[in-house]
Amino acid sequence: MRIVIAEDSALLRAGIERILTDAGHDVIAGVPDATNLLRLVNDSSPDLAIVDVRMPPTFTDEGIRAAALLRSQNPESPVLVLSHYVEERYAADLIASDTKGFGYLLKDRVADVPAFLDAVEVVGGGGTVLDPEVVSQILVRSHRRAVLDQLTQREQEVLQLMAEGKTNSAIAGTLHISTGSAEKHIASIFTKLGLAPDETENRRVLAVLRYLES
Amino acid sequence: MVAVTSNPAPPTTVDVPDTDIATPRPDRRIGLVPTASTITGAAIAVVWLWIPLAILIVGVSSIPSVIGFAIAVVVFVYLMRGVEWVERLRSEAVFGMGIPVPPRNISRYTGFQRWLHQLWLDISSARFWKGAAHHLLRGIYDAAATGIAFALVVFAFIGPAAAIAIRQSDDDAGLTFLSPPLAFILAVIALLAAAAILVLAPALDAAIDRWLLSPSPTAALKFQVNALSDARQGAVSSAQTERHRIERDLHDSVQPRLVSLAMTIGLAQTKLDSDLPQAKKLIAEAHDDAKSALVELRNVVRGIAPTILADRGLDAALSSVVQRAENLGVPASLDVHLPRRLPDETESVAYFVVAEALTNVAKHAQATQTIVSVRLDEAANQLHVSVFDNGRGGAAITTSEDATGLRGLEERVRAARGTFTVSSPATGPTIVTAVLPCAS
Repeated sequence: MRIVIAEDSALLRAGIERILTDAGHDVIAGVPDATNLLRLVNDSSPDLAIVDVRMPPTFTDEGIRAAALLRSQNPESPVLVLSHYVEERYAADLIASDTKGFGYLLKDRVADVPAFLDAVEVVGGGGTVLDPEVVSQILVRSHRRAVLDQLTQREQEVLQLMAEGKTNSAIAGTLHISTGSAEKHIASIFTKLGLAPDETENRRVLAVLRYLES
Repeated sequence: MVAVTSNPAPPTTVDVPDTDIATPRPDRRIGLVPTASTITGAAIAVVWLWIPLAILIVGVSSIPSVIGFAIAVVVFVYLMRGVEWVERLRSEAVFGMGIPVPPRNISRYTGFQRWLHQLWLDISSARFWKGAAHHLLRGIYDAAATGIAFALVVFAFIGPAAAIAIRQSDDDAGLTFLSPPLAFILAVIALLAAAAILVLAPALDAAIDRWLLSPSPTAALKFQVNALSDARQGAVSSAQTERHRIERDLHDSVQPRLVSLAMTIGLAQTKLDSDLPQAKKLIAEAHDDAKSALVELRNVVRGIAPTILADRGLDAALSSVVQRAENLGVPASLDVHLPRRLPDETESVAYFVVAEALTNVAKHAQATQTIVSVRLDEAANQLHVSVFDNGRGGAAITTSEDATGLRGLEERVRAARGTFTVSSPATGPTIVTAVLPCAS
């Protein structure tokens, strides 16, 4: 996979590059800020852009804005946003534009190399990956909590995994249940939340998250 | 007046009135009710006014006899405080001008000392003497105005009759008075004047109320200065407490993790050639240590000033801080009602209150439920922040060196000129509440 990295810390940029190159990916270039990232993506149309949230000049949410811009310019271009802190509000902004190939993860997750490489594959392949913290942040808000009280404990676990972009079989594997019963739980969740069932896992994530965010 | 409060036992607190310090709004200064009030005021004054005056005179004249003087002073103070209270009620009922109540200094001593100190605080306050002056002035003025009006009415009734009677009397009697037509004209004028006085007199009553019942600019300024110096003191000590807290948090959580990480990797290095499986195990351990250090560092930094707070506001920033409490093992839920962005200072203090209160809950409370509620009171322009937990109570704002976060919170809220309360009976539950002003 051809990947570009925007990360202002040279140390982390080199680290991520090493992990990706080690796994056989082709890191086209690493840039320290959003402006260079936008130029680079336009010039080389990579398979995936990995973007840090805090970058020069203001060190606040440059990465989020750059990612939103990239996705509006080229919806087919997958973006994986990394951050020292994840915020449900930023995630909500990013999933507002209905595009494929999007990820938002805590930077810590890079330390779990195999899981990180999986996420890179999923996002690069047009899937969605959200950090579990994003989902639990959404869930602490009380009016959503009321809605979620309709769900059984198991269904809530399944919902969490769905929002993280897991496939049916992955959900079944994580919870040590059969794929069939995972599917049953998913169908029940969609019914209880009044959502139209969707076959593709990616659209499913968006549907659930939009519902929770509303 | 005692102006500056000092730690650790400030001699006074300021009893801040609840009313809005807005300019009094004149409502109805003339009319039936104000006129009736002036007349009854006059009637009461004629009977009553001598009493406080007599006490004052007795008190002053009995200065040589200490006990007599002391008794007179105490009686006078209590009488006048009651009178001021009644006058305020009356003014509000009659004129409805919404005159703000001046702040009153409250003694912080206890027992007899408190009673004595409070007596002194009252006597030495401008509010007390203005109240007394108000009462006397209103009494005298009402009595005078009503008296004049009464005299005019009497003249209007008696004047013409007297004029006719005198005209018809013997010239020899040598009585001269107004000619009857002139007497009639004067009687009408006198009636009109009496009516005018009774109708218009309350306007001056209202002016007297506003002059003597409202806080003087100096008192208001003094109060402002007290509040500001209090806030400043809060700011200074909260910065200090905050630095200690960050130092302690880093020292307790992140530093040991990193030391352990370095040690484990060092050990793994020595095993690499001799005991590969053991080295692998150690590296896995080190990996876990490194990830834990990251989580702990994030938790420490989280409590300080997240970028999302400045960027998207309090509402957005609270999601992650409440969710962090869940990570620390406290089931928490968040209820936010914020129709708009608030001033930066208010938002960051509110954020700090929630973050720190939740950290305390996680550390001490052993709670199974926590509710964070943040809502804006638009009418009073105040932000109400409360953190409830059902754990074991007994939390208190202590002044010990190893302070819990509560003291830091109290200082921080005080610096923002808000109020901070902790309700935590020994059996729980605990509610931490901060009310923050939203004026930018």
